[in-house]
Amino acid sequence: MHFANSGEEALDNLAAGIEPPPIVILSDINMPVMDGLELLRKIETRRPDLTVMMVTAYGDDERQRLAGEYGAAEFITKPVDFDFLKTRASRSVRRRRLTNPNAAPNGRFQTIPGALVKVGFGARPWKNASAEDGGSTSIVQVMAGAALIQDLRPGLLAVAVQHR
Amino acid sequence: MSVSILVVDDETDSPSCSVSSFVAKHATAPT
Repeated sequence: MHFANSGEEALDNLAAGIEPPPIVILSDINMPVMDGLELLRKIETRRPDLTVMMVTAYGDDERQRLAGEYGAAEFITKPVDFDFLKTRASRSVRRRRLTNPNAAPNGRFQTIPGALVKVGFGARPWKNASAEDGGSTSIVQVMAGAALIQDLRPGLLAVAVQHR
Repeated sequence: MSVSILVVDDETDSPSCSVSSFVAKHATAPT
């Protein structure tokens, strides 16, 4: 666990290569000089492999919209339930590994936003499944990544990415 | 799953609303 008292300190820590390297950033939004949303933008530019979760006492729609636009994995309002926080952190990391090849060199999926994908369902292990595997298959468009498809299609077993 | 986290918040926040205080307290508490 690492702690930083400001957005600037967080960026300095990341640039310095703190150990063990963090894979989740949990940031407040309301901070002087560099607020959490600006920090989020900088991290998404410099370290897109990191999962950023925003925590705030001000859960208004505009902040939530901006956090989502800037790439926050989660937007959590205070008071925070710790079990809820742990669950969301784990889920975010799993999603990040699925959708960001930089975050998961051995990840199962690489996604190309805007590409068409074949989604296969069935009883076979995912690595043996294909669009020709029988069962129900469909074509969907990748909007945000595999995680989005998994949300839309529980039970997803295989994704074959194709360029248009 | 063990996850390394960097917690960022305002050092002037009171402990009652500080994210880092909250996380430090719960992350070290016996479960």
